[in-house]
Amino acid sequence: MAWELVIGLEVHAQLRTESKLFGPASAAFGGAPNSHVDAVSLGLPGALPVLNKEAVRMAAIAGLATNCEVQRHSVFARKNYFYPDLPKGYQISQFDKPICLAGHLDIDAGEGPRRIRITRIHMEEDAGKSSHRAGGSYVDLNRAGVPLIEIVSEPDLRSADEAVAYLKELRAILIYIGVNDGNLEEGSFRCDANVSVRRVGQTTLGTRCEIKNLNSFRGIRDAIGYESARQIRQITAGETIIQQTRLWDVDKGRTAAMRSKEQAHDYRYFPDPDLPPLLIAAEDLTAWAATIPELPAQRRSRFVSDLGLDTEMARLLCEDPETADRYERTLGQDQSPERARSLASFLTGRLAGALNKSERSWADIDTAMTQLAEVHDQWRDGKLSNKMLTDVLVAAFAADASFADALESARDHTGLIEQDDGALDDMLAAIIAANPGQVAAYRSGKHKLIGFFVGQVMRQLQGKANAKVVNAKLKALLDG
Amino acid sequence: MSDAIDATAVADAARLARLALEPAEQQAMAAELERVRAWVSMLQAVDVSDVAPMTHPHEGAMGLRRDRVSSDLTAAEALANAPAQAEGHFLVPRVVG
Repeated sequence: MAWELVIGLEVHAQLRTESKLFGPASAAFGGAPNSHVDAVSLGLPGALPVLNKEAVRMAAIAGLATNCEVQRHSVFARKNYFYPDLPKGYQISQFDKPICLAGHLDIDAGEGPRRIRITRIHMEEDAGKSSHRAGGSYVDLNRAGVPLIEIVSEPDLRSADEAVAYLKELRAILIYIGVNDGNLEEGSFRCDANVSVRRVGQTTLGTRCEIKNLNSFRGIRDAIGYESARQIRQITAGETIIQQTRLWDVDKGRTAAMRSKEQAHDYRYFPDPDLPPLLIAAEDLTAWAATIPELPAQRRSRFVSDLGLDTEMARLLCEDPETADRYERTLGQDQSPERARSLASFLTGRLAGALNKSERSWADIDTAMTQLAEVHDQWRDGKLSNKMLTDVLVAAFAADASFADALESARDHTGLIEQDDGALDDMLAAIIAANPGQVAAYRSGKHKLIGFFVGQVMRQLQGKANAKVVNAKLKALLDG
Repeated sequence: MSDAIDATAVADAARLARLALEPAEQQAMAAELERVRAWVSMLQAVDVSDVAPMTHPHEGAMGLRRDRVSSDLTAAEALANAPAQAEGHFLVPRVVG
């Protein structure tokens, strides 16, 4: 009998505020150890937390963009535990009255649209960072007090692919609305997965395990795959699943239970007496809602319906707003479906490929997008051959000058295909006359030999020929 | 929390608070805390059926702060009270394995 996976995700996303959630120190990533600190994040006695309004706005619009009901009244609570990177001895979080409730995201992992419910979004402060070395644990409190939202889904996901699709959609939304930078490696977007298995048709949930330490989409996919297989194997062998927290070990490719001592949590939540309830004014909420830009799902469907892109290309372009913006900027006014599709594959294919092989970044070449659009159009119109296009891009990417200048000089150097029909016709006639054997073979049915003739032309013209025109002319001569 | 506080409850709370209590101290602490609990539990007798729950004693909402960086604490000042420090970090006894 078949098995079904049941997955719920908890995502911690760092809000892109300037300062911390309850104190004025910088919330920037990195910095010299303990240089982004204030009395509140150090937990100095008597220091009182004062909530950052921008963090509230960001949490609220994250809720609106994920179809949540933003709560006009929410409460901060203390989550108590001892760890050296938590100087106060408690984390300020939200417990039974979070800022957002009851949302959903629509995802498509390749098997049609599915709605994944979001239980809640709450605000909390991050802990500091401990590095454990031989001489002891080194504590850096730069991250302590940085604002986070935790987005908790219902256990509605049924496969690792769905989990990744949900996370990518959520990440894209948070980037679009400007509240999170989406960086998994630096830990500003991180995820814990609750995984259980059950027989298909069973309505009750199996015992779940929580997997932590997931910091890439690949890791999430692999960890869910490993963990579900482990649970199925255990149940099949007649063993029971113990509810526990397990850590993903990316090097060994497996999950392992945390020591039971580390699992004995009793957080003793209670409302933080330092912080009165958070009330959001209706006019603030209305003003904030107006700041939400076009979301990735809307943008994808616009790219499909208005520009004629296929779904996969629209998804690729809309993963982050910079790529989508760049595409639309480069596209400009001429938005015929044929050009829109061609430019989309030019940007995501040839151009992205050349960029990846070079030392340059998108920021470098963003200043030259108008010229790049011209290059694309000339190539599309047959004034640049594939080889000439590659030459231009390679030269422009390799040069030391600004990309715009490098591109201009590469274009000047390569030039355009001069369509001189008379000269071309003479050359074709000469090539045909010089290769009677190949001509005979072609005419006896070896039509693939057209490639040989095209090759001859291209060699003589050093690649500066419109392959379509050459092909057509050759065909006419050989077939006629 | 109407259960009486015994030595087991004290041992549990001590573990969460990282306090090392001898069995005799646990017994003494249990007796002391149980007297406090019994005194506070008089509140349980009050009829609150027509009183709305309250999460905070103050009326009104909390004030919010503009998102502006303004800390003037340096790393050296932050570390000034630390019993031990190394390479700009607070240094504590190693907490894992």
